[in-house]
Amino acid sequence: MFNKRENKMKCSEVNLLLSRYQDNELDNYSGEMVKEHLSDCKSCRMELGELQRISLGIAEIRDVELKENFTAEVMSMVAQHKKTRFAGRLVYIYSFVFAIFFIFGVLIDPYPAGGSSEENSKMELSSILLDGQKFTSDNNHNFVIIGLAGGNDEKGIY
Amino acid sequence: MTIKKNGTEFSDDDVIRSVKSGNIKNFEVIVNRYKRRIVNFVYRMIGDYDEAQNISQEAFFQIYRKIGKYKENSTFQSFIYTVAKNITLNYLKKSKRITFFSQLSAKGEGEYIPSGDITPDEKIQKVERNKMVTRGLENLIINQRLALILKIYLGFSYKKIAEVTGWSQPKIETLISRGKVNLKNYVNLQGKGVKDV
Repeated sequence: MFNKRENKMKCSEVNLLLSRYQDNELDNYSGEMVKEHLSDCKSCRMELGELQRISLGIAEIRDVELKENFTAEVMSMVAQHKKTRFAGRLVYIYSFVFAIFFIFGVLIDPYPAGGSSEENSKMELSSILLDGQKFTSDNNHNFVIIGLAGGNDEKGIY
Repeated sequence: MTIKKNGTEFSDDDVIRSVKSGNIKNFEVIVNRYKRRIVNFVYRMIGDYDEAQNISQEAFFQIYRKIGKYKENSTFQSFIYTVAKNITLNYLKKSKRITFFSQLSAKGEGEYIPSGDITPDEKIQKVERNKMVTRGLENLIINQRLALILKIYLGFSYKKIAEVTGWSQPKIETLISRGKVNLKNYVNLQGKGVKDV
């Protein structure tokens, strides 16, 4: 970046590094070179002084006070979120359970049209294929998932 | 939950672990630990006292919601300032604010009151320079303003600024360097204008 042979930097080279020098972000070697240049160069020293005044100006913007109940309000938002999340989970679980009962209730009619309840009670075990899963019902209309439906030869299992 | 039995403070990671395990009350420790810095960081970015408070509260709420994503091998400070920065930038983008620090003098907030052993003339000069710097910040592009505030107000290293912003090191160097020069030129120009009058 700068003329190493003469081991001295030009003002234009120093200017490019001045901000990083001020921020202590230069490596040791470059930092030393800038420092050395600054000790001999009044205009670069003035430039650095201006940058320092600007930084001081930003640092000196007075801090604002926080509103009194800042923390309490945040904690109330957090507590509310926890409650909402819990309620959301409950709704999800209830919806799932309801959906299961609804599906069984609609698709597995214990009293099919044209048949009496007596006939139904004599119904043999039946298998129903639903979404790739096989369900079976017994006389008491209890339904049990018995496994994924494979091929025709699975009929023998029941 | 702030002090251990041996008298040392619980680290951020200790507190976060406790919050993650269900003790949400301990999140209060994090809020109290960082609220002043966060509010003043946001305030310097947007220049509006009330909005700075609201944005900071929203930032803490989002920090709580995202706490599960925080991994202990990264620094918690970078994590919270990243969240605060994102919310602030979204706000600035949405509101397309023009007024910024012009509100400060009206409310008297953020106004610099010099202290120490200085003459009245020096005091006036300092107050004037402070006003010009705050107005100059307003005129910077947002990324230059953000870089300068992270560096000068929060005292972050370039590496930490990279963690918070996701910018490359050369980009950070350029933003900070140009930001300082632009601010300096603005202050000099305004100062000259005042003197000329």
